[in-house]
Amino acid sequence: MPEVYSAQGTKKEWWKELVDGVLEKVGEEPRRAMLGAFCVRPDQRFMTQQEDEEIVLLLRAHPITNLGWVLLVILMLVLPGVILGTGVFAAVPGKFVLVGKLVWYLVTLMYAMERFLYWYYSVFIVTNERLVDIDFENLMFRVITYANLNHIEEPAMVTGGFIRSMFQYGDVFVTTASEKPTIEALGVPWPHKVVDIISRLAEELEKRRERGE
Amino acid sequence: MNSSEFIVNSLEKITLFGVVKWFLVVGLLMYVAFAVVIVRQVKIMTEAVEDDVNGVISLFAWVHLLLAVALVILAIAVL
Repeated sequence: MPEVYSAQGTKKEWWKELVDGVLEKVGEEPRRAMLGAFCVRPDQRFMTQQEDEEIVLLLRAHPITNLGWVLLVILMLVLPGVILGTGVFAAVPGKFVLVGKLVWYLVTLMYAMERFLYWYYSVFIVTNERLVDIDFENLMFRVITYANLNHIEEPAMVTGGFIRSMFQYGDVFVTTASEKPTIEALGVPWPHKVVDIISRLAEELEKRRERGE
Repeated sequence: MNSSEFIVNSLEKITLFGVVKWFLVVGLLMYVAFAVVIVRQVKIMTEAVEDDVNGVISLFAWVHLLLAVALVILAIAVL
């Protein structure tokens, strides 16, 4: 006899159907774009993720926001050659120059690594249940903010200016009813899509709540 | 050789580049401590979000630490 209804199966998969529906409505499908700055339904997990929770969006600042420090690193890499070319250190023994150059390049490597780590691991995650903002403010300080999608007000976005318009990135602000009034994703790609997905997810959850599911 | 002659002889052996060498070594030792902090921090960061590149980034942090230690040894040996 065919199984007409499986309560366990329905309960287990409800959020997947919800996410499928929302992504279909906004014309998105699982993908990784902008060097990992805009990931739709990535097959990844984050700390404190629950069993019935799935990442819908994983966002980082647009890669172009790294341009400043990348240019600085390039400048730091060519600087020793330029300075030594002027002959300023002609009186310094060669072994000191060699060690000095190696120290300089190591510091440059460390700076580049640190900036990359801040960019790569400061993420804004939208799941089927909540928003998670993970920020690394310095090497020792991590801030994680959560906001349940049932407790958010209407999300908003801010974009503008030549660079932001050209590369299509901006800031997303979500007002919450908690102690921390806003949760924000700064410089993320396609902020209008982010706002759209958050709004639709919150709406669908609200409908489920009204239906008593 | 009495003690005052010993001190004078020792002071005469101190050169500008000798002082620079030990300043550099102390600075590099502090840098090694910082590299250890980076390894710890990378561990914390990679725990926050699962990602394919986590292993590569951890490896990079360890290579950075080893390079810092190697540079201390090089500075003591070569300078």
